[in-house]
Amino acid sequence: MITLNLAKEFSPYPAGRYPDDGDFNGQRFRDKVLLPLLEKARIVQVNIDGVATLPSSFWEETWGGMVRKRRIEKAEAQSRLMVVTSEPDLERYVDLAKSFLAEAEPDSAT
Amino acid sequence: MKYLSERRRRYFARKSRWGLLPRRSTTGADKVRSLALAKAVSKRDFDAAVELLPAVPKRRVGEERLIITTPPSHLSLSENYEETLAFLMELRRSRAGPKGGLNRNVMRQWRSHIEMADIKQIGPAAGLVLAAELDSFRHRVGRMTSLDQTWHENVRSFFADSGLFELLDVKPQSVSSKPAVGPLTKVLKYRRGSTPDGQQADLLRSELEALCGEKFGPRIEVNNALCEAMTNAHHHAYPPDQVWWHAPPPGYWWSTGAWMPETGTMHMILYDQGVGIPKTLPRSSHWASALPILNRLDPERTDAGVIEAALELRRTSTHISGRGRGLYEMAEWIDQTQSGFLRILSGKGLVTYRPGRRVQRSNLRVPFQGTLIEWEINRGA
Repeated sequence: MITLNLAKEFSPYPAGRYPDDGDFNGQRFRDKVLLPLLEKARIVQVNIDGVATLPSSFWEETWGGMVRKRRIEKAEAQSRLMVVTSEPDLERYVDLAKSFLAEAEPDSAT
Repeated sequence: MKYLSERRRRYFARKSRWGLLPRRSTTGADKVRSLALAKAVSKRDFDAAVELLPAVPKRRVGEERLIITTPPSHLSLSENYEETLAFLMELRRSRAGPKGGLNRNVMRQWRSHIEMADIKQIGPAAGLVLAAELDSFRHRVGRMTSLDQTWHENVRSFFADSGLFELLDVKPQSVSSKPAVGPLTKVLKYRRGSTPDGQQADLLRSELEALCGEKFGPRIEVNNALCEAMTNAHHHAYPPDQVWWHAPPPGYWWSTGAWMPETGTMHMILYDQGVGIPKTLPRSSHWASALPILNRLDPERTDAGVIEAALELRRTSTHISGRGRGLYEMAEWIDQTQSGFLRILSGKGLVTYRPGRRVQRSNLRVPFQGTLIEWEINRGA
């Protein structure tokens, strides 16, 4: 299992969905950080302690986009990816990640 | 000759149908004509809106090629909406040159002067929109100077506190200033950007809390609300295929925070000069999901109804793949904390969202130029 700290290893201020939204966008986090880790380990744990922003456009693109863009099967993502936090204020974002994954459907075009 | 006359015949045939059935452009000349038509329609709508507003005193000094515009004494979108908007639209018109055209050379030959000395008071939201207009004006024209030694002390201190002199790259003329009079408003330095910026959002919130010594709201949720407002401005406010009759806006968002100690009111504001939510939602992929909500909320489909439908979109729709949450997330923390309100002014719509999902909507006579999003919390005097 690999644990990644979002704030320390990506950015404490993630925001935006696409590359033209800035350096710390959801698509970049998903494709350049998260997916390469899935090739190295069976389980990847994302620790969100210390983030100052976690807007839904970023968070949805990370989790929902994973399934929508067919980067990984939904069931596989649900079993191999985990979001954890020790901060009570951030607990709802753990549930939000799960619901984004659960609600997403693969795009028919891609 | 035969070719030219055939083109001319086609031109008049198409011209007779303009406005009824736009045709797909096939040649460069067609594209130029379509663009000219779109600009004319956009300018006609702008002029029609200006006609409904009080006239802005303006005079031209021909020998000096100078246009002098007189603003209202109280710039406020909540207390003096129409006069304030009329002045702001006049500023926008002046970006297009003295004849409302787009000729940069003609613009450079004329100079604009705003009688800033006539302004006695500026509200934080109106101040932000004014800053955006002046900032865009500066982008277009290049250089501005100020006669701030003649200004009212409230306006001078407002410009100094909000960092407007620096934002506009203007050197203030007066070194000493009298303190502001009347109800005190402390304003954070204005900032601008074009993409969502989490660090700026966090800084804005923390600076506002430091200014008033109170917590504005839950840190992450407030930051997220600001980030989503920035993201919406970046994704939707300035569609690439939009035709502007005046110089295209630079594509920024502007934001600030304000604190009124006498009433204990804190504001966070974000503004963009884009086409507005009522125009962008019908063009988005969420329109099909928003339409049933809009038909239920406001069968007349007014601008305020469209904004409310956008706010309701995520809460009531569970099948839109998590997208379309932007506006909902801006209001979410108001519900969590049960305090304050969110106000969205866009197009002709004004929507206020209060705790408990109480939404109040009204439609204005004249469309606002852009989208203004304002969160207000009252902590008591």
